[in-house]
Amino acid sequence: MSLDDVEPVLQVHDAEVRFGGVRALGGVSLSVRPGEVCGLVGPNGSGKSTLINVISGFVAPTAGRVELAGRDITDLPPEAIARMDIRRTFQRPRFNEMTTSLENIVAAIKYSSAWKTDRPEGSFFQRRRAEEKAAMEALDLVGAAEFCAWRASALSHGSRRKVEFARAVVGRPRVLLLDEPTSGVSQAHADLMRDQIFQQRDLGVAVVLVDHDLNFVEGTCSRVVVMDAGRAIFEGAPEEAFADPRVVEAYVGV
Amino acid sequence: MLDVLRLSDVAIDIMLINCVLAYAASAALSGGAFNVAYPGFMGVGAYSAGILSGDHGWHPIMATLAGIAVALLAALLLQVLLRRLDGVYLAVASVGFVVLIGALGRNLTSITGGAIGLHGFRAQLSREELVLLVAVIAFGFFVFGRSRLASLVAIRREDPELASALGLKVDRMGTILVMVSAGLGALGGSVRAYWLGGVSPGDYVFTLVLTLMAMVVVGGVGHWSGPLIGAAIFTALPEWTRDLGTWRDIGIGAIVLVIVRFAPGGIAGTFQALWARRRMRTMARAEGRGGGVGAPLKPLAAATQEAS
Repeated sequence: MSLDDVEPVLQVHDAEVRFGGVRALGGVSLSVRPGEVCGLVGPNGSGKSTLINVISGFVAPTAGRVELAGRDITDLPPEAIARMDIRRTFQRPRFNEMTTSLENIVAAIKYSSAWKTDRPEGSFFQRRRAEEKAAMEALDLVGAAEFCAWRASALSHGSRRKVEFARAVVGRPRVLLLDEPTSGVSQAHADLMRDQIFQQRDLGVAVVLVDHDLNFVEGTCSRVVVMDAGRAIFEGAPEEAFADPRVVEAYVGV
Repeated sequence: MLDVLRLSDVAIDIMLINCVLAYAASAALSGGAFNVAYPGFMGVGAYSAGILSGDHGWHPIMATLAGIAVALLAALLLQVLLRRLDGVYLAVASVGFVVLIGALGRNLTSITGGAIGLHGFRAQLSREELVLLVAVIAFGFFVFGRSRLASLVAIRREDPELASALGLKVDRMGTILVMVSAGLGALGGSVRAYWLGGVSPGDYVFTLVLTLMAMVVVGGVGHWSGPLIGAAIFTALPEWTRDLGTWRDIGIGAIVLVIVRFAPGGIAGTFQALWARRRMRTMARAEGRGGGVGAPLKPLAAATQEAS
């Protein structure tokens, strides 16, 4: 069965966002299937992060609809969307700086719906240990296990990216929204991040990836949506995207 | 046992009562929202004690429970009114509630005794009862502090958006924290009124907002022992420094400044951080990693092995 036969898990229909007179998003549609990595690229201010914010409930669209597996989630608050296992990262990683990496990740399990079916049976304390184990495994997966006892404020930028990724995937999300996961990190780190994204993809997670690094996007995504001034100007295979004159114009401005 | 503190019996009782009041403030402040209405709830509790016990002869426990119920209702109403406010605006609006309770106390003369207040309803509270009350509340905060929900409340304090991205119902948690603050505040206010045997409109005013906030911040916001430490310090220091006269307040102010500047986690938070660092260093040394701090904390490493 090819990917095209799978029903999309996340669908955005004509999402529009106006901040006062400014149109940040002008009718963008997007659909992402489980096991697919969809890239969102475009110049600064083109509306990529706004679209992520609309999906995750942080910005209410002035028009349009967001659906998760056919269910309308447009007007749900961020916490309800997080509880449906749509998990996100932020442009700048955010933590409770005073506590350890591990505690930060464990806190994300509490409201994961998938975890409620995944978690082993047992006493209250066994369940707690299982949560810590799951968090530890997530940290190990991104190669940051050694930082588990570090306070978040003591982590380097690259480690913060890793820990944040671990926090986003720890409860087995259905949809993963990654906002510039490779900005400010090394090539080796970006390669590791790509492996991690592939791993999530192969687990059947629908991934939306916003990034400025076009090489990274081309090597990671099966499909890209190019945005400019709040509109989607191209949708298709990444290698075609960067040959498309509209895309070149948006990026280079000629 | 408490002789080493060189505090009078009265001061120790006050310290214990201040612990209850500080827990009420701590509950409100631990979620990061500046709802500082807690002295108002304390006033509600104190006046309930005075009116129901003093004028109507209720049993102190029944009167206290009634006071808590009224405070919870008031908190719910206040939360509906202030739901959309945040930051400085919430602080100012919630101070308005404190002023309102004071004004009601002063002006509803037939019920509250006006500016003189209500007196003569002293109920005997033994030292053991006060210690037990504080211990129960502290234990409650200790247990909650170890829950996953407490981590999310801590995240809400630092970054409410992040907390909601992790699934916490930020608004509802804010309401719950204010309700807990109201319940504990009414309890503390009522206990204080029975201990004093009186209540007057000057008892629960704006200065109490600041005093209790200072206790909580110096002790450690969001840490179960913070209110205990803060209340102990802010009751004992003025006693110990009685001879300094005017310089006393300046000295105490300076201590608050230094702690807030250099130990934003308060005393409890700072000790916790030092303790964690020490443990990590011991672990690292045991593994032959020199001074590195990368080693996992022992209990967790053990837990992880057991679970696997």
